[in-house]
Amino acid sequence: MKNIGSVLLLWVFAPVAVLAQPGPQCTACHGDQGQGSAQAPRIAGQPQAYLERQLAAYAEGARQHAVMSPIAKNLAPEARASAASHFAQIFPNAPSDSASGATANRKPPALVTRGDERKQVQACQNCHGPLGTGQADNPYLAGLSAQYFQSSLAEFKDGSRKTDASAQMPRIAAALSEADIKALAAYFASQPPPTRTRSPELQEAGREQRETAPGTATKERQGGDVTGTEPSGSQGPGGAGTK
Amino acid sequence: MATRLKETDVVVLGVGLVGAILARELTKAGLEVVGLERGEPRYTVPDFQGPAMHDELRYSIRKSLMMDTAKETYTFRNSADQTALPIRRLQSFLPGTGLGGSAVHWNGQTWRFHEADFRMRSLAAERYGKDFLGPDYTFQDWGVGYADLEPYYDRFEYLMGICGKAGNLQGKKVPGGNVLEEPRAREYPNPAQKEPFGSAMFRKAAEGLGYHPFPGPSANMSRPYTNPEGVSLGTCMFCGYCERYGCEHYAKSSPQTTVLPVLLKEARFKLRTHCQVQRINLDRSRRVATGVTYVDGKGAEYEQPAKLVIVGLFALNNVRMLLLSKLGEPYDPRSGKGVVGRNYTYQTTSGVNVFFDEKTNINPFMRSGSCGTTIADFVSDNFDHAKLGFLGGAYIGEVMSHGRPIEFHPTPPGTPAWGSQWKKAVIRHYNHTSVVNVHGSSIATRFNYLDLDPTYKDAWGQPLMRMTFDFPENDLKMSAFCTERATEIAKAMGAKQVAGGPRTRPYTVTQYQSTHNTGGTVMGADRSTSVVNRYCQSWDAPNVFVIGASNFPQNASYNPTDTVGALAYWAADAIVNKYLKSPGPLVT
Amino acid sequence: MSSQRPSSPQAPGPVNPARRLLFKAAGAASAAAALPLAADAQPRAPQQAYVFFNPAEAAFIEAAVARLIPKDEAGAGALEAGVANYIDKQLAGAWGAGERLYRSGPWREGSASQGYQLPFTPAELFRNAIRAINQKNANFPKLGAEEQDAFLDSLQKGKDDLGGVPASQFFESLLAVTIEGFFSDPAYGGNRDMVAWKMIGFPGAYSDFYDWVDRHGVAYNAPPASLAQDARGTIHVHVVQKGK
Repeated sequence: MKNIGSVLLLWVFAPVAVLAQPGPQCTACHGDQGQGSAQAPRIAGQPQAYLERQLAAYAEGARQHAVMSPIAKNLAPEARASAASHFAQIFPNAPSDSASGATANRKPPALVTRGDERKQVQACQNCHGPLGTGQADNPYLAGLSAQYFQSSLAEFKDGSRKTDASAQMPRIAAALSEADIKALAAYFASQPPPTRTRSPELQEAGREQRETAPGTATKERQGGDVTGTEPSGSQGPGGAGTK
Repeated sequence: MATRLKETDVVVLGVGLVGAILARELTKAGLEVVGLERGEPRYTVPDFQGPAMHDELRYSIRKSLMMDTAKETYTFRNSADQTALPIRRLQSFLPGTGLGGSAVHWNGQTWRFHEADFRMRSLAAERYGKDFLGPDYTFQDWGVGYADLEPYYDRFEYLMGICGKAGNLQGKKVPGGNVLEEPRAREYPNPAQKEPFGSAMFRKAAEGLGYHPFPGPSANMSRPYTNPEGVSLGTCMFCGYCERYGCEHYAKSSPQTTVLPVLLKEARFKLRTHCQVQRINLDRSRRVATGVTYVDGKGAEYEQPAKLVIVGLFALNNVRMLLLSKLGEPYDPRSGKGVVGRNYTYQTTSGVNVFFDEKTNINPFMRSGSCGTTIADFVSDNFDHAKLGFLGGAYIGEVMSHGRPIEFHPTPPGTPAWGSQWKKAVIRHYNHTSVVNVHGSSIATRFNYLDLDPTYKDAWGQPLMRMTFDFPENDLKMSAFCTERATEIAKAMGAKQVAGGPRTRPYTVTQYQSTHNTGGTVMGADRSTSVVNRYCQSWDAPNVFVIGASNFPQNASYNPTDTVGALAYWAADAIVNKYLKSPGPLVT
Repeated sequence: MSSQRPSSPQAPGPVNPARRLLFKAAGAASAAAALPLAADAQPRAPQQAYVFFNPAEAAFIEAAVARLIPKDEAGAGALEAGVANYIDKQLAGAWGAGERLYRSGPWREGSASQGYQLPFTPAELFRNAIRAINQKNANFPKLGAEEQDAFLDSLQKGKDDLGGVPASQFFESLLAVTIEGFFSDPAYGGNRDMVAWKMIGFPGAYSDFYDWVDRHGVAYNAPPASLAQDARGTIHVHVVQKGK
């Protein structure tokens, strides 16, 4: 635990509207690179939007935690955004409680890659990325501590965590047994966390408005059949299904 | 020599939407039911899971969930003076195969038809005069009306968990819903899905022109839902791999996600997959079915005796099954006699591409199968046709369901089909183009019909079915009119350019349009112009029920699935509460 | 294709000077964590072995796809994206052999609306047509770009019989598989490194846009994902190495 005295002083003297120094109040529990500790989960490299949403949830009560709730309530939205952005861009090598390389090649439980028909649960990796390494702004699961993973699913299950607007996670958590959750937790804890971001906000390469040629074609070469004139052309009604 | 099996109470042909519903209802009534499905068993887990399911090449282009045209297909010609040739690769329509049928890979659009559709002949005569269209048009009344089917629409929609906003609750119009729809007893089971960007622009444009836009009713769940069978679905995540794909999220209504989990636990139901039914067998009087003959996956032939036969195949295959079984008189367009294969209809589709500036990101890949915004102002008889010279109409809507690039890479007119200019145009327009769809009705004529092909056969040695079809003049006029209306709305969406055109002749099987093949086993009150009575019971053999879009006397503006589901429950009700109590013709 | 690697980690949106100060004060963490994005370098024509095409056929196909979707200032073309490899593997596989093709005769020439009526599987169609082309115009691969384009134009409009395949029909098939190879998942050997998807902004094999669909008009910048990529982002494609 870092110098909590100075942290508290900053809380007291920094107006809420001004960006408070997120460093010590985050790193004290989450580690200096957000790699996690016994007190708090790994947040390094999680999507910015996801981290921001969790902080908002703690501030507004959609998620509750004795330590996180007051911290989040005292952070202005700009400060939450900057803290989220900060940790979203860090990829330290290994989480503090990750397992050794020997277990990194462990076979994933079927729920990760296939789902469970009897329980009507889809594969985790559909939304959480290959073997739970993240997809866009859905959080990665690989490398999270077993204890944190289990408590997250428990909170979805009992309804105290309301951070999923699609309501997928409560339904999935409710369908999983305690044994399922334990097996998943153990598996993900044994896996190395991702080393790169897939977060939409942080992709700039190749995506700025392209300086391509203007849309209308020249008369340079009229190659017979023209695609796109007939929306119900060979591609079907251009992107729209009619079934 | 076929092996004769033990008799069952019911044999259901096809375990898709109709087969699954009928099997469920009849096993609940205490009957032993055998379900015969030509394709393979498949389930959300493991068969529809990602990321493998998100494979445009495999599922959209190579059509892996569709019927195997190496083994069976249809032959096609535009008119009877041509020689029909095999549809060697599916393009225009894509019948499914496998457990769950086409309701696995559909988009999920779920619409109720209008009274003006069910009583098209009588109501058009009342409103426009009985000779409004010439004698070549054979559209007719269904023998059932909207009020008959309303409770069954309701039942089906609650089974599926349809997401929408009612526009007419027991006669009271509700703004924001489809205020032009027929009255419904209660609200949809789930609220409408989120509205995507392109659809929002369409809505504003349509409102500005005085129309009544509303969210399209969708079988992709807007929230988790548990249906009356106790089966639960998850929320649709807008992954953009809906039609032609199975849903990995348990979010698309299909037999797998609504009824099979319960049906397959039912001891009285026996599912047999990889079984190709060859014919319905009739006794010597040819007025009673004795069961069916089928060939299983190993090539062995079986006779399955049954007291009751439910024909619940894909619409075209319902017709073919009756023709192969010689059940009912085949239609002959020259004499006008016969009924099986008569009144084959389709769907008259067109669209308008809407090209926006580079800063407008449409993001078409963030879509579901049937989210979107539509107007019904030009559907069916919702508008006055007196001066227009045609009957029928179309829904117009921005209902884009995907942005998969092999299928969708729109470019404006004048763009070359390949080369650097093409490539630049694709990059420029891919994420900045919306599409306004026109989904129009299909009227019956005496020229468009189905029969058995004289030349080509399937892998089992049986004749293929021959489709003779072209768009009638009425529908071309309808398409021209509705596409003009769509273009006006498209122009009001704030785009830089719009480009589209109406449906034209000839109908070609080389281009996807719709899998709404309808008619051929028409239902009606008059046995000289129908194959089944109002309860979907064969006029010829009372222990055979034929249920599906093949029963439609003509096709309406909307997609068929809601009506197919309603007919399934309607027929099941008639079987359980009338037929089983007193087997025999339900209509004399 | 523009491929600017960011020079330092940047949060999206206008940069708040106080926040920049914050990062500096927070210490080394931010400077050290350069975004570890894969370099979006221009792909070369990939190393590959052909299992269907003989060298003369391969030369024709490579030259043809390079003109159908050329490399230009917008980015890589079909050749660099591995489309020749894609076509090779497709023709060598089930589709090439006639999967889902109704192959019974009699074969008659039909109307345009009756669709494909030739007796050839895709593999046969390509083989026959390319053989005929190479007999008449064996130096196509060595021609200049304009002459190659003119030849492709003549195929597109042409009525010539190429080993039983009408020229325009061959062209249509060739263009179709080229577009497929450009835009399909890299698992199939084309669209190498998802270059075509990056060019147009298609995310590939994602399965969840629930939180995004009502953020109307948002610029969605996530890197695309292939169905064949593993947990470390490596795309596994079946590529046959020469000499192995």
